[in-house]
Amino acid sequence: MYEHFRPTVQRLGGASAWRHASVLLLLVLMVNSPPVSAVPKGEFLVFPNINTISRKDELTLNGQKILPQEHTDPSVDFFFSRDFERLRVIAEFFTSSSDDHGAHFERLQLGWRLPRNMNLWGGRFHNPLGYWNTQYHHGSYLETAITRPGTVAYESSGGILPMHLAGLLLEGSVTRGEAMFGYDLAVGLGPGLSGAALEELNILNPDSRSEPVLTLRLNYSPLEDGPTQYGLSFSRGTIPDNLGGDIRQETMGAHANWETGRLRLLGALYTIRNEITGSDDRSFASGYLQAEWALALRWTLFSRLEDSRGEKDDGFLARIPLFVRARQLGGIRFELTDRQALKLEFSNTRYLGHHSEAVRFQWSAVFP
Amino acid sequence: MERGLSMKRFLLLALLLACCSVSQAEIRRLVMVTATPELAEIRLSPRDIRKLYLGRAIIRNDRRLIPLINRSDPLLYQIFLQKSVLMSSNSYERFLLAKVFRSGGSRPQRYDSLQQLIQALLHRPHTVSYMWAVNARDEPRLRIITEIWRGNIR
Repeated sequence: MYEHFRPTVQRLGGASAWRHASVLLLLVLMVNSPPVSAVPKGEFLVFPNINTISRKDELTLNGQKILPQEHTDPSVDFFFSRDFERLRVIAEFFTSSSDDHGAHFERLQLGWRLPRNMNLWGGRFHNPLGYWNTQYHHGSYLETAITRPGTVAYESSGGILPMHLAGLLLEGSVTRGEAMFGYDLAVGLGPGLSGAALEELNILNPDSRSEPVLTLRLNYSPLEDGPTQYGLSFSRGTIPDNLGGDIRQETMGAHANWETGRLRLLGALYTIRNEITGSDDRSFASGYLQAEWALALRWTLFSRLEDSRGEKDDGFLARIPLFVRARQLGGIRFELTDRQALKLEFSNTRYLGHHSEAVRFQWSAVFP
Repeated sequence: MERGLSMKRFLLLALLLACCSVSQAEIRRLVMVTATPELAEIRLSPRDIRKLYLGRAIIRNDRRLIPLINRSDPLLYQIFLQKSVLMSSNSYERFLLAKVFRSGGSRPQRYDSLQQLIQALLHRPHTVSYMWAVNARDEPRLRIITEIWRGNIR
């Protein structure tokens, strides 16, 4: 079943490297150009991090090492944003030493700010599915934990849902008293299934087959711009399979982030239905619950439980061996400075037919 | 008679001590200010100020207000965050960073020097900020828009 397994590597090289470099250079020139007025209209942020992981055993699949026992992975995420009157540009470029990620634009989007708190975006953006994928991305410093929940893992890291889309995104909010209702509607091309992992659409080199995905997200915050929020998501799309055939996927989810004093709880539950061409459709549920406790000004304890139900018979999941079916993790975060953090995380993870115990350590930061 | 006198002395002493302690506590006012003449008469509610500093658009006289962060006095900054933004300093910094990272735009400009802040207010139209009323009164071109907080500081 796994003879087609290959990591979805997007390395810089040849024409692709020049294309990436020229776009990055353009962005740097834009952010460094003299501003129209003295008021800043742009940001350039750098999120470096170094991850080290130590597993009890390495994970092999058909003789191939898919998760090594020891691994260190430095990476840098560059973020740029700038406003030109009503036009807004966002670019996020990620580069990593890991073969799973390589170097590529995570986000490259152009937005038009409309009246009534509405924004219309075009380009490559985060699929507004649930909480995690709209709050965080490669800026590890902003995440309390080191790892993302398996359900919302990146496409190339055992993810099963489209985390990136290339197309159009309409987002907005309406306030009623103290409360805020938010909405996101996205239509775009999603990932394809290539070997044993999903492969994101690379908009600068769109040679892979992609099909449209539609996502709707509704959100409610009792206090406008407050941290507590509850929401629902719905997504429907087709994932083309490079072996032939398609997977029609439908996802419904509920998410919540609740904060009071030192305690924070966040979680999401999804029901996912996959229908592989020529076979019956299968549904399963997958979700996570994370608790965070601020011990003192600089220390935060965190713990997360992830689980799936009914996933064993899903033919699509059987193609993705790195999908995290269940995980228990706990860890601690220390704020080294105002802009740097150290994290330590212990986890017990269940994959398809394997399980892995691991210790992760991460230094992460944001500059300036 | 002697007992009555000692009671009077005691009360006078207590009054004197109370007066001394009140004079030691300084009554301060934290105010929103602008140097843009057409913004001098605008109204800003506590909710407007919170939204403004959380990155939401607040429009007055058809122009978007530009908030400037005053960090020249740690106590002033803490009081402003507690009374207006309703967040701790760390949470606020993280909130602004996460908001920009998520949706783009830019964070409000920060000033660690009161003089630089006043210069920015004087030279950039439609900017607003907050400071002690006593500092605002020292610069005649600054107009107080509203009072955010008033209290004793020992």
